Amino acid sequence: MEKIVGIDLGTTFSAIAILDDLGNPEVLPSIENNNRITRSVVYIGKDKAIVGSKAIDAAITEPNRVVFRAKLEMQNDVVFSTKEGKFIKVDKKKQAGGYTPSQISSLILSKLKGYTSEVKKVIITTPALFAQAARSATLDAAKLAKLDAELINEPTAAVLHYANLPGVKLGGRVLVFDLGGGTFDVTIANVNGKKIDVITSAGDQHLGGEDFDQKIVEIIDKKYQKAKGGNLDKDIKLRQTAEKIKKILSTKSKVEEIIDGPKGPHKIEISREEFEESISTYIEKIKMLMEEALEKAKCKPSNITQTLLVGGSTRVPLMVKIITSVMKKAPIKGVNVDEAVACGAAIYAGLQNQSSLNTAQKKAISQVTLNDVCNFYFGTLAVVKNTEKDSADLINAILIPRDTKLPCSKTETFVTIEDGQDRVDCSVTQSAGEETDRDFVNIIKEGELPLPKGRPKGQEIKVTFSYDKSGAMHCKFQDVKSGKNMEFDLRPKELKSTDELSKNLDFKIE
Amino acid sequence: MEGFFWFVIFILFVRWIVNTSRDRSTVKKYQEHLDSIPEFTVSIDKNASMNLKSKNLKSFAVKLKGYCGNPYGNEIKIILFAYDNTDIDDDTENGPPLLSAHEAFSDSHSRCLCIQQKGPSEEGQYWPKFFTFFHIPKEIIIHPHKGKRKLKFLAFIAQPDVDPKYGGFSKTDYDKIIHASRTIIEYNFTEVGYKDMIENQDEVQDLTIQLAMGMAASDGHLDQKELDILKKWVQNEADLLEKKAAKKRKQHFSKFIKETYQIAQNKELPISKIVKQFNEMATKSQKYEAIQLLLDTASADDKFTAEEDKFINQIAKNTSIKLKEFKEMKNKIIASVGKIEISEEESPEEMFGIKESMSNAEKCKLLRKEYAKWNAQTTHKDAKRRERAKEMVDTIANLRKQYNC
Repeated sequence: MEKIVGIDLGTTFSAIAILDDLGNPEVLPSIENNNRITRSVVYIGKDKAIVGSKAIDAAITEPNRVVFRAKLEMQNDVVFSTKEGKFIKVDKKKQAGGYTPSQISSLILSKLKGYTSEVKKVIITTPALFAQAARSATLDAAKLAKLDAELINEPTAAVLHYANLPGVKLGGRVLVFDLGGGTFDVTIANVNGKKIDVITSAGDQHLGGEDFDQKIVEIIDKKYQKAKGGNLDKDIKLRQTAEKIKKILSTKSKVEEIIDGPKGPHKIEISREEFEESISTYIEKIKMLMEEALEKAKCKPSNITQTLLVGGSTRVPLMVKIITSVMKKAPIKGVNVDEAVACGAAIYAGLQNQSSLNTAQKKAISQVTLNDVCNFYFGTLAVVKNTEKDSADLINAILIPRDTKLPCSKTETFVTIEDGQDRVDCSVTQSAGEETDRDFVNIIKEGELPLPKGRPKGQEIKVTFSYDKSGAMHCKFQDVKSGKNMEFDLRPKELKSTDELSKNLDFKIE
Repeated sequence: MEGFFWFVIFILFVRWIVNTSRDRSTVKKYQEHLDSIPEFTVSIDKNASMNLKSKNLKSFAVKLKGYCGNPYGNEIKIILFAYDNTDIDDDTENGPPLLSAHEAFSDSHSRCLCIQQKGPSEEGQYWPKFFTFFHIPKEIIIHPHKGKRKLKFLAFIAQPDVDPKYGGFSKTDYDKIIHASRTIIEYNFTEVGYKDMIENQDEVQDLTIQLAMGMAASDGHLDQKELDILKKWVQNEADLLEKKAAKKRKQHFSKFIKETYQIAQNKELPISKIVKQFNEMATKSQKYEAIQLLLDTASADDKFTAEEDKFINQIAKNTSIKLKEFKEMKNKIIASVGKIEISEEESPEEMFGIKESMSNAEKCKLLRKEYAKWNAQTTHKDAKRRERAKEMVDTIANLRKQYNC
């Protein structure tokens, strides 16, 4: 029987989950080592690719062929160069080889897909503030892995899992604190039993457990340098040591570790206080994002009934302290924070494909409803008069504000500004912040609508953006008088061809 | 019988007398009432203020009273123009018009300041007392000349189909004017006007070149890329002129740039004198244009040095452009250049608009807003912008730590 699965495609770890016969989410272990989470690391050999912790082993001998954190590059125009051992900007003129973040991610997805058989459809999770380009790249990756995919935001998936736990009855306004290996999201939702209404999300795409590891690497290096006078090679081995120290510091107040360096071995001691001090800048960012989410949701900490923890990095004890200090109450601990997102994705997969479920599965999720919001501002470019500068400025005019409930449709009327104007710009912009400055937004689609010639200025142009629950947006720019219009769909599913995507990608995956 | 007849005649006579005197008194009262209705009159309160989108703006309040009825229809159009009549003795004549920086306050054919509003009307309708009909925000007014000026405001009640243009009416609309009134006020414009701008144009351009050269030399050396920005700017300025004038102007620019370059190389540019002169002669839009040129010059070499930052901050401060606008312009540069240094005079706090007078909570809140702005940029398509944004969010987070937010 074909299966519908949920995949948490994480920066450092990934997981795959299905709904069991009774409709409960179940994380599938690796068929090789029985691990329920898989390292999002890929080794690219000459004729094979290795995914998971084995790829890290390869990094010791061939570091340039091992790819870490591909997820953080999903929206960027980069390729992984096995020559340089890092992501580099695509040089369109040179057409240099290399592997796109989508291709790397497709190898991870293919690996996870192999943990079960007959996967029909997949729900992949992404950070709430993942840009449109990154979402498209994720779907490209799924296509390459021969998966029919849809996306859901990670914190939303996590609430779905929490709300669906047997014996748990969530109520009121909940805050999801999702701190993974590479990204941080904070989401506020209204939950009434199994009815979930997302209100808002805030996030940082460059804040996670790996950043904490890097801080430990810096401490070790500094201490080694002070004691021995040489610089350490900040390779994968040192990073693994740092990760190990971080994990130990979650339970112990200090760690002692012998570090091998160019000037011989040296025993280094790191205390929890030292570690916490080193990540204090990240902590400040976390606090700001929590405040931002609370402000956007128009609520005070006292209005939040529960704070739910998601993501492996929430195991750092300081996180609970910070949450308790901001929210004035401790967060809920009760699920496996590494698996909550994948489990939520599996539930969402069931919701989206109810015809494939058995009676017990249908019953298990029958009460679940989910209403999400738009995580970005979408707009278009327009000219406005700046009375202060006495100039005509090209600005970003927002049509769909962030946190608008989905589905939604917004129409704004603009006018032509010149006599005889023969075209209007039909750009679509996306931004995480409420920006009017066009330099501070991403233009995700460009186009022009030709207009009939010889007309005076002031001709009405109606612009309508309609955004549906699947993240697809329909845009229409219409010249009211002539009825001429330009329409297009902006959907994460506007994908490149498989041929184009699979260039250089002919591997046996291990 | 005859006596009764005369009695009736007498009664009728008395009634006639009474009625006639009553009618006379009604007519008299009516006439007195009509006489008491003021003529259509306009008055201007030059010290008014208005609320627009919760912003308090200084404005001219336009007040009207008197007859406003339309004997030919049930709708009227109220129209107002304004002129600078300082150099005109006869107030029936019009001086150069005041212009509007916003199209809501101009006619549909030009930038001449013009308010027009339609409304219902009946014959004989009037406004017994002055009431404020509308406000003209001062910030949208573009005046002809700087200094103490005599302004003439001209108000009309007209047929609704009248189409004002270029600060007046076309001949075909003359017959459609029903009432008119004018008033004169004195007003002191502190900024340079548009006529001054035309007169000062060449000099302001030269001063702008000197400022840009001063900016380019502020970090100790004049970079070719910085000079290229300046050359492009003068080229664009010259291209706005007619062919012959453009050629002449280009020749001047070429010579002037060479001379200024030499002076700048020798570090002999009298910047404070240039700024003072520029400030007196340039319009607000020219000031912003110059600041933009300075920012473009500063960032031409993909660096924004501490010296450049200090230089431009001083210019912006002395030209008294709006801090908010300047900050936005500077943010664009900060977001796009490869390397930035902030001058010692400008602490990170200043960079984000933190003032000592703010409470700790206000500072923390402001920093959070700045964080939201720059954090959003960490996912920008442009790699350079992303990297800059990451630096900015780190600076903000560190400041928040300092304030124990």
